[in-house]
Amino acid sequence: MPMNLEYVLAAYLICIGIFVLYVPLLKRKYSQLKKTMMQISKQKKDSSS
Amino acid sequence: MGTSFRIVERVTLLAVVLCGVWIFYATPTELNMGFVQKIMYLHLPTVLVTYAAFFIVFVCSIAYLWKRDLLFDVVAKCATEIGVIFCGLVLLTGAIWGKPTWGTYWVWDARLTTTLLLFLIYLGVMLLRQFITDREQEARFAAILGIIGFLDIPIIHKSVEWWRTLHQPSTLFKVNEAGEASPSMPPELLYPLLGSLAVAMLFFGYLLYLRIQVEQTQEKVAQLLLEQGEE
Repeated sequence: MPMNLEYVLAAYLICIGIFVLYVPLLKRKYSQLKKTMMQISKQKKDSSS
Repeated sequence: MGTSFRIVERVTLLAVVLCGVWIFYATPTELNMGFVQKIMYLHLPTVLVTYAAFFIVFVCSIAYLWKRDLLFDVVAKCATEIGVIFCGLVLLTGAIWGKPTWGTYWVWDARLTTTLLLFLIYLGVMLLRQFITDREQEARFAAILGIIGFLDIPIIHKSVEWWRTLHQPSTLFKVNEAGEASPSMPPELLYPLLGSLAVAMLFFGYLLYLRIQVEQTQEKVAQLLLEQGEE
């Protein structure tokens, strides 16, 4: 096993972990906002008709 | 987000994976530092992305103060957030690399201290935005701080030349007595580094686009809710 493997693993896994959390969080927020936008547009259409 | 975005997303993911394979399976281990030198392929790209993100903040802040177009502020806000994340990773990966290399996670030398200062300045910009309710005022204050914060970057870059630091000098190129620049590492180590820098910039572009889409959609929803409230 290479020397100081734990340091290399820690650095890479922390970076991967951060983006594995951040990117799906952003995408989830985007889809929730899109749903909200569609609901508001639908309400506006219903109230104007 | 359309088909072209999904294609870019998949290409970015593939590039990241292939880069990882290149670094760990096809790149030889450096003789002096050993296996821990692999952290360089993470640390340097995060530094480049940090500089790029805060450069975008700098340019968009100037553009906002000049044109007063809130689109520039949206881009600056998103770039600030991503820049803070990557700056945090610079400090973290640097500390992890420092322990086996220098025997310590942290020293208060010029480069590390000025990088920490950069992180704190832009974190401060993000926090400042949370406390200002007026949109135009938020954009103005964030722009001014964003421009001032960017002035730290040339200081960080030159710190290893201006002061005696534990941090090593720039490792990409060295200049000989005749003033000619040449790579300071062999091609087997340099090319994976350049590859990882390119992949990091691609990943940054993808993240920035995604974050801007979220921010613009959030502003549209806020505007629609405001209009609905007025009705």
